[in-house]
Amino acid sequence: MTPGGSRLSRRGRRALFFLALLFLSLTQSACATPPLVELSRVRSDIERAQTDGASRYAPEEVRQAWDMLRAAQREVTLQSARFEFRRDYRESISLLQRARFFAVQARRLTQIRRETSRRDAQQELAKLEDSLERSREIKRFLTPRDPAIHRLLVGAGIDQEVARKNLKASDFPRALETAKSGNARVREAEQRLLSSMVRFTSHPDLAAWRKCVEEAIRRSRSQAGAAIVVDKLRRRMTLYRAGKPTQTYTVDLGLGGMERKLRSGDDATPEGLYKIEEVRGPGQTRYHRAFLLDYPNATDRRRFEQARREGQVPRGADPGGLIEIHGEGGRDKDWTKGCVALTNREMDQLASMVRVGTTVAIVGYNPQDQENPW
Amino acid sequence: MKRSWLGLAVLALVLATLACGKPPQAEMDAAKAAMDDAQASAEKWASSEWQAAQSSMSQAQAEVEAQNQKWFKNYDKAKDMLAQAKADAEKAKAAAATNKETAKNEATAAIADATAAMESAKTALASAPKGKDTKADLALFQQDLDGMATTLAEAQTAMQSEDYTTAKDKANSVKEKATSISDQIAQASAKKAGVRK
Repeated sequence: MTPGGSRLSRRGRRALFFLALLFLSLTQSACATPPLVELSRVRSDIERAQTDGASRYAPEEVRQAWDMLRAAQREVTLQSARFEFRRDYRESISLLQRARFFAVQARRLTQIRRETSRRDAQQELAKLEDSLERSREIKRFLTPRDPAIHRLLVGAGIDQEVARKNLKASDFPRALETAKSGNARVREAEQRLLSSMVRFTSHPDLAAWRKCVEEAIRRSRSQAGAAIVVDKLRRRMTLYRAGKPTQTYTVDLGLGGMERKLRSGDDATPEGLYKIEEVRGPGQTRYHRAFLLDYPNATDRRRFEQARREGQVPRGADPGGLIEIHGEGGRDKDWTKGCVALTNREMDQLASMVRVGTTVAIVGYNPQDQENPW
Repeated sequence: MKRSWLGLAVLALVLATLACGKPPQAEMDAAKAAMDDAQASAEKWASSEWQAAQSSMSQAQAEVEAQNQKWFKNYDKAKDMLAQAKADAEKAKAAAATNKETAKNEATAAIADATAAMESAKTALASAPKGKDTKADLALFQQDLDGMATTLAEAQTAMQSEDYTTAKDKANSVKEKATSISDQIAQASAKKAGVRK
């Protein structure tokens, strides 16, 4: 062993070491293949998320996933253009991992948000169905001919139909939006109905109605006979015998519902204290049986004259007449020209209990009745 | 002397090569303009085509960048890719126009159908048998038609704001209701005619 030989050996080892390093780096570079399979897989992940509806329920995550994927593609293109031993796809892979994260996140959020949206839409629609039904019922009782309220409720009904269809087609956000629009219409209608209802607690005729009811009951008691009280708001007729309520019936009123009769042709049911003028049996009326009332009485005539003086009635109009309690009712809607209608069976029952002269009080609202009208 | 001619020829070749290696600015501008032109409508009406166009553009830009970093530049592939991106953008724009037109036509047809159904219902209502028994129903139908006219007006407003889905949904619902009214009146009329016999 010479000293020179030992030095050469060290040089040789060093050269070998560098050669090994070069070989390692070259082989590593040669192994750095572009992550094309991963690119295609992440693209499929994003597309699957979009098929699930992510563009709608998680648009931000979808956008970020696409941005990351494009950045990864760009990085792959850039690296592929470099000399082979200088290529490095680690950044591409990192971007692809982030793209995949956003795609997975988009799918997960889509599932959660779709479910929430479905539930919200169902709840909103249920609320609409309930409130619409209630408002229609209240409107039918209170203001059957109010065009503004009817327009609102028709609009809400159409919203309800559209929301149902959207829900069926799994278009939950649109179903929710449409049901909300319907509920907004119902709320507006309710506000209008509420202002109509308030009228009954401070109605100028409230005292007169109370008096009518009390008078009818007093007469029934004093004569030990029958008296009839018709509560227009509740659509209810109560039969009193010897001052005691013995029977109640549901009635149909004139087309005007709660409106008070003023003149012929207004299709409204009058309010006041009346007497039965004539009892008509089968064959004498087209409505099975009929009790003709003495409408218009003196009060009705005075009211009509005052309205005429104030120009509130058309020229040539009169207070009308032929107001009856008759059969063919039980239709669960107001349809008469101002009469009070019961079913034929109920008329048969009543016929044996009333006679000419029986008192009939027709009031907008019976304040003595504690039962909630709704 | 011979050597210097050869040197000059090589230099000229190198210069020519470098001159050919300029980034394809015109193609890039054209592709970008096509993307900008398509964006507003394609994002809303042709989202998948828009995604494809965006990807093409992104790839083409990456290719241009890649060539920019090279000593010996060749933008031929980049030019092809930019042309593809431009074509994809134009395709997205065309798809958006078609999809929008289809939605618009469907909504227009639905509104026309609803209007016709309303007119039929009005005509049927005008000639419906009138009497004490039917007056309430007829009054209710009239109110329904008034309410439906409001909804139809809302559908037309939705059309103007290009919300064709809402317009179509509302119009279809109006049509169904109006048709139902006509049918009920026809049934009532037929019943009445039968009674008269």
